[in-house]
Amino acid sequence: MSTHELILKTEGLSIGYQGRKLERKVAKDLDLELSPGRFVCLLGPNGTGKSTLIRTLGGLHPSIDGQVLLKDSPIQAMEPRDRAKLVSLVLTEMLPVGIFTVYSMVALGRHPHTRWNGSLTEKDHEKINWAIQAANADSLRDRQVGELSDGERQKVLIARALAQETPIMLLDEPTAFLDITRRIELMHTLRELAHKHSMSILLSSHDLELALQCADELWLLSDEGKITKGSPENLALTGQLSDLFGSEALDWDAQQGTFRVHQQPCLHAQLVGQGPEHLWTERALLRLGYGLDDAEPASMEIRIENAQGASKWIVNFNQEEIVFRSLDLFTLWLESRSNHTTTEGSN
Amino acid sequence: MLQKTTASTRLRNPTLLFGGLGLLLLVLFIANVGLGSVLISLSDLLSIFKGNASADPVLKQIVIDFRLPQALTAMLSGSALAVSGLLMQTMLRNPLADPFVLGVNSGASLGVAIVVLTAAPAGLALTQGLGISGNLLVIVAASAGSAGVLLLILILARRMDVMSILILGLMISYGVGAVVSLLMFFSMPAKLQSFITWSFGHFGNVTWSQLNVYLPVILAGTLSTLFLSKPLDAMLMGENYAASLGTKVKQIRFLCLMIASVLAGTVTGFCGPIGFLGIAAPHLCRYLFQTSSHRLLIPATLMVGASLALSADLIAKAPGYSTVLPLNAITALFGAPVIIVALVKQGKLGTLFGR
Repeated sequence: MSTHELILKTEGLSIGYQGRKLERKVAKDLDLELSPGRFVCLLGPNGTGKSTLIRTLGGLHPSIDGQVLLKDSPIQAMEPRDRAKLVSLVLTEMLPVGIFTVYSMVALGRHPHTRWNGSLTEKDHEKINWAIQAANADSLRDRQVGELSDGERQKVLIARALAQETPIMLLDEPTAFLDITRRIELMHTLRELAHKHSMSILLSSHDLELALQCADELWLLSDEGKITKGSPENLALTGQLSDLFGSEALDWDAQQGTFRVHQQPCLHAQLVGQGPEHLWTERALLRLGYGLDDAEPASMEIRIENAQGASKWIVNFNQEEIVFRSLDLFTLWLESRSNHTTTEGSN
Repeated sequence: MLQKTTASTRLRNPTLLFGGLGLLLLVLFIANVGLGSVLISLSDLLSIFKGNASADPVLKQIVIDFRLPQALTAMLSGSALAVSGLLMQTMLRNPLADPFVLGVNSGASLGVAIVVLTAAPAGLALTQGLGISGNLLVIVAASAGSAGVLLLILILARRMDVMSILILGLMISYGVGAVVSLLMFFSMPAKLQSFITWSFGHFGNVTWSQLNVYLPVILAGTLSTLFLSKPLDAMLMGENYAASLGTKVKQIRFLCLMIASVLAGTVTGFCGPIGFLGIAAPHLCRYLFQTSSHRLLIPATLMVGASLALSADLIAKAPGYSTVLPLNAITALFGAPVIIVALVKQGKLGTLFGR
């Protein structure tokens, strides 16, 4: 590892809150390393201390034990201005108060680089414009921050962090208020930034599936305050993901890479087919509580046939063959059937 | 340069606004010197300032010894209270904050109450002295009172978040106010009258020799705020974000609370508790300039504060009549409608503050 590569490192770091009398450790003995060009996602159940870790890494929160090292010097001992040139933050905090246009708000990100009165040079304006573009906030440029939606505001906060021009960016739950498409967009933007500009980006989230798709590395923070690191695929394969996130009610589906609500299958079914029709029929069956385990004897057989660009679902059940022209009709039938059985059961 | 910084289509032209404010300030200043119980014409004023031998010596004495120091005091006090209100509103992130949220005025009134209401023989002397010219003892007592409260707050506030500081200030105000009430309850009507007169506020008590102290303190305080625009902008984002932008949050907070309270305490010491200006001027400036940028707001509040104080004093002097109205009543009576109009036009002044 070359010495001039800027790395955020922790050595035996313990984080938490220290009052006069009581001390609450959230996580301890953390040895972490965030290197350039990496997009890392910090995952963990609610209340495990993701935000505390982000704030401690950013130097806003004192550590209980151990150190956060930036360029080999402890972050707590750094001049705030020097630190602000290396680490930028996007927090979950409430929106800033005041009358700001998006542009003037992003301009605040230049603070560590400007003189005492905050006047902006040509270069500053260039950087601000670049940051707004990079965060896909072009159309918001002249809007008032107070009028933005949560998602738009999030973009502006990220643009502000980008304008700070730091090699390291830490984001606390930036996707929390976004709808799924914006979330995907944002994750890919961040990933691209990390790769293209050799930034180290750490993002905390509880959006597991998206993190699995986008992150170069996952840090899993457990309830006991331990961090497991690794590539998303390996963590999924070795079952460490399911150990952390799984519970009585949730099953890790290693095939699909998602968690499912755990339920006892009411019936086992056998599904034959191909392509997206197969995938979505399978999901519909699982959602409605059917088991698709090949090892179990199936009491229902479903065959998907594709002919002349149209698909049909041929179902064999109770020695009867029923044909459905769309997945919608098929699931409606499944639903009415399961309603039927539950009412029967309660009688 | 400024337009570039905040590339907004809605931003008013700040140069024009500052020009207008400057002109207004000049007109108000001249009006304040010229108008009063004795009306002095513009040509008389000119000849007095030119040092013409033909100038009426009585008028000259009125202008030099009374009108000029009073107008200067009004300008300085207005600026100080306005910028102090702005600092408090930004620091405490609360649009309702004013220069006295930390209780410096109640400290001052306690100091004055002790001197005026309890010190019996001296108190009687004060009663006579109070109405005519500024009394040094009152100034010292008020300054000491506000300094005491300020010190207490700054010591207690070091480990607190802004909301706790706000509540702390409120509690101290109530506590000290209660002591003042008790003092008032047990004192004689004559002394009470002089205390109430002090609590009306008055810019005319400050003499030239006292301005030797007042002017440098207020100038130093107000001008130092011009250097704080950058960290104050950062503070609008909240303390954590401000810290992440490289702001020394604790230092800035201490500095701002101190400057604001010293300014407010000094003004209260010399002129009595003057309400309303401090809370209204910053809101008026945000409304006029449509921005939260302290680079514009700080000079703007200085000018607007001075203008408001001069206007209020002009009305309080009731030009042409030999009576003087209580300043505190005037600031609110004529100031509140201005804010209400702004409120109605804006729909919600809170949004100006971003809430």
